[in-house]
Amino acid sequence: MSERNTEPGGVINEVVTLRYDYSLGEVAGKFMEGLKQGKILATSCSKSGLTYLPPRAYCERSFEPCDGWVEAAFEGVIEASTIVVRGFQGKRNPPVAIAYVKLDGIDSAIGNYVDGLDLSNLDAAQKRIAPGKRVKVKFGATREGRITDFSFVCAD
Amino acid sequence: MTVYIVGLGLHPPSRAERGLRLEEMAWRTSRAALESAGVSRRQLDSVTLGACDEMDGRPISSMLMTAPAGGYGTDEIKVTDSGATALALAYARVLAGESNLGLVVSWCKTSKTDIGSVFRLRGEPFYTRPLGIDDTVADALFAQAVAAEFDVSDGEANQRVLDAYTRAARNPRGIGHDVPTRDAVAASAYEATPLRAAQRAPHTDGAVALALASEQFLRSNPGVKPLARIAGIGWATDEYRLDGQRLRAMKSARTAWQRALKQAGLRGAGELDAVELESQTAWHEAAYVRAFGIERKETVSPSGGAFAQNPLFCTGLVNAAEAVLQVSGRAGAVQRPGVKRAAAHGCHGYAQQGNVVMVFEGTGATQ
Repeated sequence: MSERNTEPGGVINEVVTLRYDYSLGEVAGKFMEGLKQGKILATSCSKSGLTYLPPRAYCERSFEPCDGWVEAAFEGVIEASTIVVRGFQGKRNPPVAIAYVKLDGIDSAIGNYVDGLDLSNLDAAQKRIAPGKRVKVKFGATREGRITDFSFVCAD
Repeated sequence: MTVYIVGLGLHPPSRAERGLRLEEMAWRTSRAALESAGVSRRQLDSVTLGACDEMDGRPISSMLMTAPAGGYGTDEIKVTDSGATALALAYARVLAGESNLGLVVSWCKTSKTDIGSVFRLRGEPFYTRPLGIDDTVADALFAQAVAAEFDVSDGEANQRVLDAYTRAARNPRGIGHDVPTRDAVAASAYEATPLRAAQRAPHTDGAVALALASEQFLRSNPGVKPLARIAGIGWATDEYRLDGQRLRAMKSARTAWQRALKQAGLRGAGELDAVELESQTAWHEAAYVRAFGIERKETVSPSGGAFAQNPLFCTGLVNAAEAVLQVSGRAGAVQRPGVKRAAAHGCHGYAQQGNVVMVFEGTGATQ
C-alpha cells in the first residue's frame, strides 16, 4: 500500500517488489553442491595457471574456459577485513566481522564472515583479523549450498 | 580539436529535495546551463545524461528525463556509471565531430531511497550479496588497505574531515553543514572498522549540467564565450574484486589521473592550481593526494568537495563544475587566486572501482 501526500512538496512512498530467479549456472552450481559436501571448490585454467575462488567459468586472463577443479585448502591468509557495526543489513545482525581471504593455493580472495572473535573491543578485534593474519575454514552444522555454509575463524 | 565548457548549472543542494521531482530539478538545472552559455535548446545537437536507475527509482529513467534535460528532438545517450563518466562521453562526442554543442546533465536524489540497499542490489548474488556487502563495507575495506599502504592514521583522517568541512563552509554552492569539533569526529562511532561515521561525507540531493562546444561552434557563434577548455580527460576501471591488492594499488585512479595529465601536457600535480577530489571519506582524500602526488595542501578541493555537497552519482560532475568555476574566476568565496588549471575527479562503484579525471584550463575570456 502506498502512502500518499498529494500536496505540492509531498512525496509518494512506494515499495517496489521484484523477485528474480538467478541461474546458478554450471560453475556456481557445482560450487554450492560442493559446500553441501563440506568442500570448497575452485576452478583453474591450464593455460594461465590461475585458480579462481569464487569459481569462474572462464579465465579472465586467457579468456579460455576454466578446465579444471581443485579443492581449496581450509586455511588461508586475510587480504582485507572490517568489522561492521552500524547500518548493516546482511544475513546477520551487526556487529559482524567480514574478511576477504586467499585460501592456500588459490590465486583470488573470497569473502565471508569471521566467527569466534570477541567483538566487545573493536580495535583489538580488528587487529586479530588484520591483513596477513591466518584463518581457518569452519563449516556450520547445517549445510544448504550457500556461501554462508562456512565462515572463517582465526588460526592462532 | 579543442572542446570548451560554455555554460553550467548547479541545482541548489539539499539534504532532501522534497519540493521538486527529478524532472523539475533536471529542467531547472539544464535551463540554467543553457542560459549561462547564452544558447538555446534548439541549438543543441547532443544531450548526454548521467543517471542511475536504481537511485532514480525507475528503469530507463531517460525515457522521462531526456526532455527536461534539453533533449526533445535531440540525440541523447545515457551513461550509468557516473555523471563524470557522462562528461567523458559528451567530450568524446564533440571531439569526434558528432556534436558541436552538447549538454551533459546528471542528477541524484540520495534521499529517495536507501543507498546501502542499492549497493547490495548491485552485488553479485551468490557470493557477495548474501554477506550484506554494501558501500559502507567496501569503503571500510578500502580505508583499511590505504591506511596500511600509505601509513594513514585515524588522526590524519579526522583532521582531513575538519579541513574539508571548513572549506565547505565557505562554499556558497555547498549545503552549509556545521563544522564538527575535533573531539566529535574522533569520538564518532565506527560504522565499519576503521571507518567512523563522521569520516564519511553526508549524502545530499543535487543536479548539475555543463554545456560543451566545439571550436567550430564558437567560430559560428562569437557571442558565446567559453568558461574553460577541456585540456585532458582520463578514465579507467579496476577489477571487481575487493582483495587487498586491488584496494591498495588504486590502479584505475592512477591510470585515469596519468591519462588526463598526459593529454593536458602536464608533468604532475604541481602544475595544477586546484584539484577537486571526490572523497567519499577522509581516508579517500588521504589516499588520493598520495596516489596523485598532490603535495600542496591549498590546492585540495577548495570547494570542500563531497563535504560541501554529495549527490552521490553526480558528485564527480559537481567537482567538474567547481573546477570550471575556479579556472573562470567565478568560484566566489572559495575562489583560489590565479587559477589557470584545475582538475576534477570522480569515482564510482564498490570501493571506487571506476575513476574519471578531468583537467580544465582557463581561456582568459572571462577573467
